[in-house]
Amino acid sequence: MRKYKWLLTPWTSSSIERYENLLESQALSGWIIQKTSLCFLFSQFAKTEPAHIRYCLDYHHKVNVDYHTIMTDDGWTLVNMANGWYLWKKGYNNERPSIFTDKQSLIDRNHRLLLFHGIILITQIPVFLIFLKTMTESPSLPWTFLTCFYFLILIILGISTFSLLIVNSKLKNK
Amino acid sequence: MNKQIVDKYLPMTETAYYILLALKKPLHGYGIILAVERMTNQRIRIGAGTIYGTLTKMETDDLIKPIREEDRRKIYIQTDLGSQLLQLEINRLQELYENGIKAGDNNEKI
Repeated sequence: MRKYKWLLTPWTSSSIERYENLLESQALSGWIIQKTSLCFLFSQFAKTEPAHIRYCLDYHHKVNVDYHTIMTDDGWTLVNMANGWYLWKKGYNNERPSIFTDKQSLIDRNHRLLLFHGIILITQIPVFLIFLKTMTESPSLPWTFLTCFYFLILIILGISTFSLLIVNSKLKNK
Repeated sequence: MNKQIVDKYLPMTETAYYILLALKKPLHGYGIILAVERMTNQRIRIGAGTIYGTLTKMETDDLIKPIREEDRRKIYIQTDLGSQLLQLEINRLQELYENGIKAGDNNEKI
């Protein structure tokens, strides 16, 4: 019988490479990612033969017909997509492939992400403030919980936006 | 020519230069990867994500345009604007090259 395992694989927009490398090292020890859930927060692996597989995460708000064709023409297989994120894989023997081969396209992908982060922050901060106001005016357990949860999400998003800006400025100066 | 476009693209990255150069002839995305690989004797193999991103950007900036679609593949060709921009870059590269050669000649004389 085939063996499976689930791993919690938390990552943020600024630690994409770490997530890609984690999947690659799992594949090297024979655990190949099968599916993901909650936008790649949980990943399911199946036990097979160890293999050199490169994984790449891309982000697009929307893509045209060309996107999938260009990627598959170049030998990439789509593992999963969620909320604009695309996880691609490609087996290799010698040179380690990558979907991005110059720093400008990495900067561009991070720009697309920053735009997305910006939109969420701008739209969600007022919601958070309304929660905060309701909580302070009439304190109750559910409201406190919801406000704290929202606060946590916004903090994570804020930190990840900030580190994405740092990643991009480092890339530009390279 | 629009100064914004010139500032955005010049000096060109190797990738942008070769993509625009390859699109003197109509090609689809993967065709560009292969054409650039041939032109540079396998030195440059542009990644698929890079090609897609650059094509979308260049299409928005009107440097290239899709002329038809075959089997879900968009076939692109450079526009007049794209061709002018490429020529500007070639002139810039020629200046770099000629100055480099001239400096080399001077060194030999010393």
